[in-house]
Amino acid sequence: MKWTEVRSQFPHQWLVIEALDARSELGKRLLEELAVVDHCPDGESAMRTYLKLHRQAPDRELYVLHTDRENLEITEQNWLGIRAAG
Amino acid sequence: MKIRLDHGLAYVEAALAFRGKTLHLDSVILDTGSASTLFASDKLLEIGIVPEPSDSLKRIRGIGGVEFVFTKHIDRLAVGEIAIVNFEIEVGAMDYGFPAQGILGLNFLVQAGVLIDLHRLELRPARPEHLDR
Repeated sequence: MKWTEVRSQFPHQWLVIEALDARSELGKRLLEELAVVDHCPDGESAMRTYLKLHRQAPDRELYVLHTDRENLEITEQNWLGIRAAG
Repeated sequence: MKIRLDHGLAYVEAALAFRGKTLHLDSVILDTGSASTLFASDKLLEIGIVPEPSDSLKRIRGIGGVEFVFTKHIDRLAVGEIAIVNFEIEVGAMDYGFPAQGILGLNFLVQAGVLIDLHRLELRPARPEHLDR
């Protein structure tokens, strides 16, 4: 599904979304094909659902999104990460 | 503010103020290699820092994998006597395989003009206007 379809099928809702197809371009993440994983009563429960799913399967590309959002503007940022000793 | 060393990493304490509530965190990694400042969502939910429809969204790509974060302006971020009001933070899952409630990044350290003293293991404010009085 495209974001416009998600918005019309799930208006004014908090969703946990999985990007099935996405690409990176000019510092932005463009989500081409989306699947609705869950819909939640508020942002807090959507975030809690996301945290649980992300920990079960960190390789899935998941987002917490509200369908009042017209355009998906997702900035990409690189981070070298932390290296602990021992 | 004292710096605590653990597994070769530098940790400090931080206090976040958001809409009348304050959260104290005691394991925040001092990281000059991070452009931005990030906190673990699990703790922040406790003071009502939850996603809202208009938050800016980011995808952070690093060695530990990829994660989604949302950004939030908090009323105040304080590290000991060093504080910045209306500061932008990122909020995410932060599952990096070691204990951390947050990453204090270069945006805070530069904006506050922090002196990092690794001999005395402490953070100090360089400019008196950032002292929290």
